[in-house]
Amino acid sequence: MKQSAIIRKFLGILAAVLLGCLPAMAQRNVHGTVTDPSGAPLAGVTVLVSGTMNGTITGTDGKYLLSVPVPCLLEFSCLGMKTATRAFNGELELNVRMEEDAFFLEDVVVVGYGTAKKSSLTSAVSAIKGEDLLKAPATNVSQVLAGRLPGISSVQESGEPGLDQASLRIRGSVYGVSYIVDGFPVSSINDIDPADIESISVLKDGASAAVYGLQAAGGVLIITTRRGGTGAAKITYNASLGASMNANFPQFMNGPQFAYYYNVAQMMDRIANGEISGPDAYVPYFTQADIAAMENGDPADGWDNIDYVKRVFGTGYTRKHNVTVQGGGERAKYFASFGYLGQDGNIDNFDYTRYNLRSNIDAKIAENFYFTLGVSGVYALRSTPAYASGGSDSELGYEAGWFSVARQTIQMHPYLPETWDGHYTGSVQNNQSFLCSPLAAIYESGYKHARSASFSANTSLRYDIPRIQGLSLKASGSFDFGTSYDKNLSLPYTMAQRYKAGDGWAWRTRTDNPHISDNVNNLGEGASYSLQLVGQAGINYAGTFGKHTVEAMALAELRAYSGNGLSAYAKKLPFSALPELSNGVPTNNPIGGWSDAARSAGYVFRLKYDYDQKYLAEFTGRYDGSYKFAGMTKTRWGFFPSASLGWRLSKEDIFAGYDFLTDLKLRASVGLLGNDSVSPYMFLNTYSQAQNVVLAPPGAEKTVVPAYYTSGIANTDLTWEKTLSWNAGFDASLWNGALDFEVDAFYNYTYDMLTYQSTGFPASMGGYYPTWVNKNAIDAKGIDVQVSHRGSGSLAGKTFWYGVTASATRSHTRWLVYQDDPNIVDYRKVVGTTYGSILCWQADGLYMTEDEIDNSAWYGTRPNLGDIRYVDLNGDGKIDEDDKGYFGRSNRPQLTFGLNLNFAWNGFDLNAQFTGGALFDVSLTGTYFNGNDDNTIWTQTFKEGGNSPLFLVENAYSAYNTEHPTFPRITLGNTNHGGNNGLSSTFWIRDGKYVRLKTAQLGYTIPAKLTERFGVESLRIFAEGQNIFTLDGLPKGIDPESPGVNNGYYPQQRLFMGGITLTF
Amino acid sequence: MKKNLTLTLVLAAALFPTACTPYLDMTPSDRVSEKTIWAETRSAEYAINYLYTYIWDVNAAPTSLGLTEALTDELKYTSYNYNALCYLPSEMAYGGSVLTDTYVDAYLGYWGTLYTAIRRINADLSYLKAYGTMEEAEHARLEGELRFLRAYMYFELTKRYKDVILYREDLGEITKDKAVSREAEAWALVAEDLRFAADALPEASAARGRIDRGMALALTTRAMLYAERYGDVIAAADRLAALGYALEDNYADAFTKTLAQGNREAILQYSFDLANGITHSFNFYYTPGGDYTVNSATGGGYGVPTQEMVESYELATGGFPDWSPWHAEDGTTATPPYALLEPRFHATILYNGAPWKGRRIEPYVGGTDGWAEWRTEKEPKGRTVTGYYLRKLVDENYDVNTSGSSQPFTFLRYAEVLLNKAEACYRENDETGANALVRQIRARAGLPYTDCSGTALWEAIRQERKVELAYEGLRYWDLRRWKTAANAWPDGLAGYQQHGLKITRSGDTFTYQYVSVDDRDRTFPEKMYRFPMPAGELNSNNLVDQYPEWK
Repeated sequence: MKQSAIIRKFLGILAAVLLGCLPAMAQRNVHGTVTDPSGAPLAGVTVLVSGTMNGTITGTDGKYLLSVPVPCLLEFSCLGMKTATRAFNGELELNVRMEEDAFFLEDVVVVGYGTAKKSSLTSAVSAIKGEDLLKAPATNVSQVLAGRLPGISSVQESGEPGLDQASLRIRGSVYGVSYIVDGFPVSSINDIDPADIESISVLKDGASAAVYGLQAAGGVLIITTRRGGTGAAKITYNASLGASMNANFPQFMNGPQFAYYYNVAQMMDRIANGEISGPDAYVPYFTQADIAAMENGDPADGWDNIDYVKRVFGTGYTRKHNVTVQGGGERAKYFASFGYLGQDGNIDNFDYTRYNLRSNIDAKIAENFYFTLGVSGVYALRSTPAYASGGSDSELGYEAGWFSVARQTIQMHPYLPETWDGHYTGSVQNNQSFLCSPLAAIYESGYKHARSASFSANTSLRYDIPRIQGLSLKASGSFDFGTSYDKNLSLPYTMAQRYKAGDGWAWRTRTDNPHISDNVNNLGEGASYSLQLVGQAGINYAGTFGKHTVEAMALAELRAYSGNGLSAYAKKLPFSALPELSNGVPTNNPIGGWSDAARSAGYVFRLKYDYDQKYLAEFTGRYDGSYKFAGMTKTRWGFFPSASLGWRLSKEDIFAGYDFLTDLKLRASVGLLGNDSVSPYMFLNTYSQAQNVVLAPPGAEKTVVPAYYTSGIANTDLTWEKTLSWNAGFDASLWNGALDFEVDAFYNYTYDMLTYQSTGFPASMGGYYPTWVNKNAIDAKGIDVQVSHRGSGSLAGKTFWYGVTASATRSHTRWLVYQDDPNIVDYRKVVGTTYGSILCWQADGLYMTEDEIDNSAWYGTRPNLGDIRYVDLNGDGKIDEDDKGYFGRSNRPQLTFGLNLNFAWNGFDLNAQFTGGALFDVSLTGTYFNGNDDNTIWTQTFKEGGNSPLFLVENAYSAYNTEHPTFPRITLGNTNHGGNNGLSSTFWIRDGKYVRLKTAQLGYTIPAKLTERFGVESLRIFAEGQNIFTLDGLPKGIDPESPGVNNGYYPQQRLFMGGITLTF
Repeated sequence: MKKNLTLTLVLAAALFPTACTPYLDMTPSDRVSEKTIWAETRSAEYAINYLYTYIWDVNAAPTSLGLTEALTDELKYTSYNYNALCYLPSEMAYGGSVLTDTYVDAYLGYWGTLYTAIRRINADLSYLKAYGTMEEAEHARLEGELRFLRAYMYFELTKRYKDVILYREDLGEITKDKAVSREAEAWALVAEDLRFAADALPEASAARGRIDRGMALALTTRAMLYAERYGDVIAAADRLAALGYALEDNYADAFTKTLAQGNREAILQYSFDLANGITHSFNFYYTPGGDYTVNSATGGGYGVPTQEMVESYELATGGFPDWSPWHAEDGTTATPPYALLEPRFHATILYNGAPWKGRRIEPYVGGTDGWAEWRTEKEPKGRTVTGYYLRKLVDENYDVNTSGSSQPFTFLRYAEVLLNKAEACYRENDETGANALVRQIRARAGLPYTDCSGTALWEAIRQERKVELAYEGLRYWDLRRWKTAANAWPDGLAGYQQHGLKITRSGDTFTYQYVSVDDRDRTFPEKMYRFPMPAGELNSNNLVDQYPEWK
């Protein structure tokens, strides 16, 4: 209370000082008292002469005094109250009683199968308005949620156009988030135009999510799209243009640096191997003349100095357009939107185009009958060269990681000119038969075109039963149809390779493309469709009896999904310009096909009760069935109940005197959630077809026979995983929303986890048959906090509004039960470790003296000075797999935070969003797709003879840096030892904590009186940016949000855009 | 109000019954369930077809794991480089440090493979009983096939480990902790399964190439010898005799002719199809090096017959030649009496000058096929270390350079049944019966025979088993079964080295020099009469203990 008085006083002085500078236009003094609805004096109310910058602020006694022209309009505004306008006609005193504007308490939040007033929520739900999503240059929704909502963490795996979505997790959950759009489940939200979104709700605890039963274990994110309103048609047009570039990328060696460090490394290797006696005996691989030729700027001599990272990752362009129409009348309301997104990636030939169409109609079709219809369609085309951009090997199949464009780029030799004799140059890597040639890969390898089109519709019919106020029936359904068509053309291409021939260098050409067969034109096409149908029918009741309010809902839901796909491959296409399957011949495995189907059924109920809006209680339950589990036993159907209670302390009499306390509510909840993410039909004894069973039945003429084998042991007891979720928290609102708190503590216990059991069986049970069981358990605990402050003031006679929202989530997830191999040593057991820990050796610095080497254990052969010393955990005198333990933390932060700053004044608006993370590790080794760290380009100098990050060699132990090396010995990896420093160890694990200005937007709305004459209601221009800057402690260029991949990846983009919003 | 209620009920009724109806009972589109498979004979046979591969796998020795004859005095592996095929069999024959549970399981035991097969067979049996709606005779035939297969697997398991874990088709019995049963119980299961199979299965003529009655009876004669249930051997052999099997006139035809070509002796035979590329790689491993026209070829001559085996063959006229001139350390230029040996020798072993693919075998130093010194030259690449090559099971008709081999593999044949019965008769003191059978076997080879008795008869039976069934994967197991393997050679496998003849050519003169192809004496530890239980079983199954001799 004291603090608020100080703030008000300060603001008052500020305003007075500013106003004092203005010339007086006094004709008449007016004074009065401003009071709240109860009649108490209201301080801090801005009093303004409408249309001018003339104004003042009320004092602590609610009084004001102002000199104004006669007549005029006076505006009274302050936070938490509706703005009041009064005509002044010359009277001496003008007293105003303001009306409460309980916007923040009356906010309606979308929850599962319904809506709820924020003030009556008893569970943990975070919500964000769609307009806040537009304060960032996001191309899809998932990118902008991190930091804006407490409890959500996001990792963006790629910056590639069309694949730049972030993967979201709620409260440290190991499960993905379930998405609901306009009441119906969808598998992805990537294709939704952010401009179509009205609001997003995140159901974080068991009590809010239990109505989604088996889909809810990872939390639920509900998106509601915009709908029509009442009044004349309002047309809004949004357009923005922008440029993108890598947000972060490590610097690699340039030509002369490569030559220098390569020589140093080779010299050291030769000395270590005893091939030469010392530095004087070393004959440089790259001569001074070679280096001079690199630097002379003339590629004709065969040497050049190219930054291939810069050459490949340039500037990309993004274009967004969106038109919406909104309007309606008494009987019908409509909303329609058309959107276009065009992205030219910052690597050439990586492009994405998307068209969105959406329309929502609400109509009263007869007395008591209400009808809605929503339709949306998306068409998208993603094009890339025949190579993926990067990423992990498991993602997109064969060529994704190990020979991606990013990998070829970072390993490319920087001393090669771009082209030689009309061909792109390529550099050969050790142990690989292919040439790295990023430019040939981008421009000459062919293309992949992934087209997708989807159409969805949802409709509902509600009937309000007459004579029973509040009782209604509703039936609704959705139809979601998607198709995809991929066309991948791969072409052989010719590269020029520079190689050492005797003492000199020579060129030769080579025609290749490692992911085609027979070095001829290859074409692959694939098509698929998917269809999801959902039907719901339910009954709702809401009624108030005196101080008792009751709400009840019951609903049944059925879902059916089916999908089908096929693919075909041809080779030897005579012309790349005629890329049709019929022009080629079949490859070895020319066709493929698959199909899939899934169903579920669920029954949901909710009971809500409140007494005098003071004591709140809610019970929900869902009875859910999954086709994945056996029907005869009780494993198919599960009941997921929840209970939550709320107590609005601020409504109690004892708080009556504390009028600063607008609202205070305590909440507690418990709920049970489920998850059925396991291959279906594990309860059946299924047979798979054996391939190539060529052995004859005895004596038969025919030698190839159809054969089927038992492919799994049925587990008829197999059932869903369960998460018991506890939540306790409070919501507080002070000074009519000037300061808001939302604080939650949670504990989620997940048990009966679906576990692929593969060890611990004796062979006599049948040759180590793998099977699924309900076994493992984890728990996650933590807190979510959100604090926001809103205020206003006056600056240069104009009101300014500002808001600060800070949020933080701490969550810690650990294994409670895990199927460890019974024979494994304790420090390798997973039980008790933090989820996502890294299995690695413990590093103990670098070897600085030969004595240290003599007195320690090592891996493989004897190390050299400057190599990493590993700790012999089991003390057996050697370093091997058994010395690895769980040391590192996951690359998902345990602590995430966000800070959102808002400011608006005189037509200007500014929004800045900071995000950050702490308590997590970034492993510089990256992670192989099998989850094991290993030698990578990021940790082994001259890996496979290719280029290395500059930080790795610059600060390495070398013949010229024996005193203070921060990275291990520089080497070509050709010594008997030297390939082991890059293996997974604590040496490479870095604290990933960071702060990033994730997005910022500055806008200016041109005054209406200027635009109205052109029939424009409002015109706003804006500039915005994403990933603007980052503070972290990692080696330069390593992104703290980088995915764990080692083959290079398409980095997150720094994006700057500018645009306009026009409303008619 | 009433109308509203009706509407509510209709809406509810529209959705709620799904809880009772099989809305969620879906059928997978990428797999088939046991119900579908076992509903009709055709698809049931698909499932059984897969199990047939286990018979091949267990007998895979001919192509991948190596012939167990290398653990006896019959065969020597030439290379010291390839673990599975060459180095390990020699080391095991020395009784050295490789006799651990891991090696023995991987190269001889197959504990896990056999139990995988058993589980699949048991699962199939239980599904057949639960869902097999075919007519009774078909049902019984399918059950007969499955029980034959189970007996086959348990026979293989029991002959190796004696006391093993027994599972029948009650899948509920399968559990992590399960104790072993006594050997006799395993043999009882094998006998019971084979008895059922022999009754339920059709004769070969009606079996469409599937498992038939003859196979069940033939396997009974083999398995019951191990069980020492000699009466069962004789009874099964007698039933089999009535099915029309007979010895082929020509010994070589017994294993080179396919059933389709009218082989009357073969009972359980795997056939191949060169035209359709269905081949195996026995030729690749065992053919004489001279068959390779490519210089860099690595195949050929992996395992070669020993001088000891050669000396086991009688003269065509009966009786053994005197081999002492060829045991001279300095060698001799006299030509060994190969030409005088009985026909089974010529059908089984290739020697210097033997006709082969229109040429003559040259196993001498520098010859087309060539000679390599054991262990000094780690990769003989088609050369022999003994002066001999295997002829039996290597097909003369295919070019190893261009295709795999397609000679059939006969795992059960009538000659073995006769010898099984002879042994059983001997054990049951029916010397007349035994003599008649030995005579029948020798007669086919054109060898004279004089009835004998007691130890001499037993010796005669053992001699015929060794020679008649050479390289057919039986001798190592016979020596274990007879408990003579640990005896000194030639009775057993201890205290001897294998030999070959190093042949050098000078003009038209060949010098034959007797050389050892072992660097140590061979031995057979008594504990190898039973193999050790693999560690994987011991670690996870709390009710088993390592067999006492391996503790």
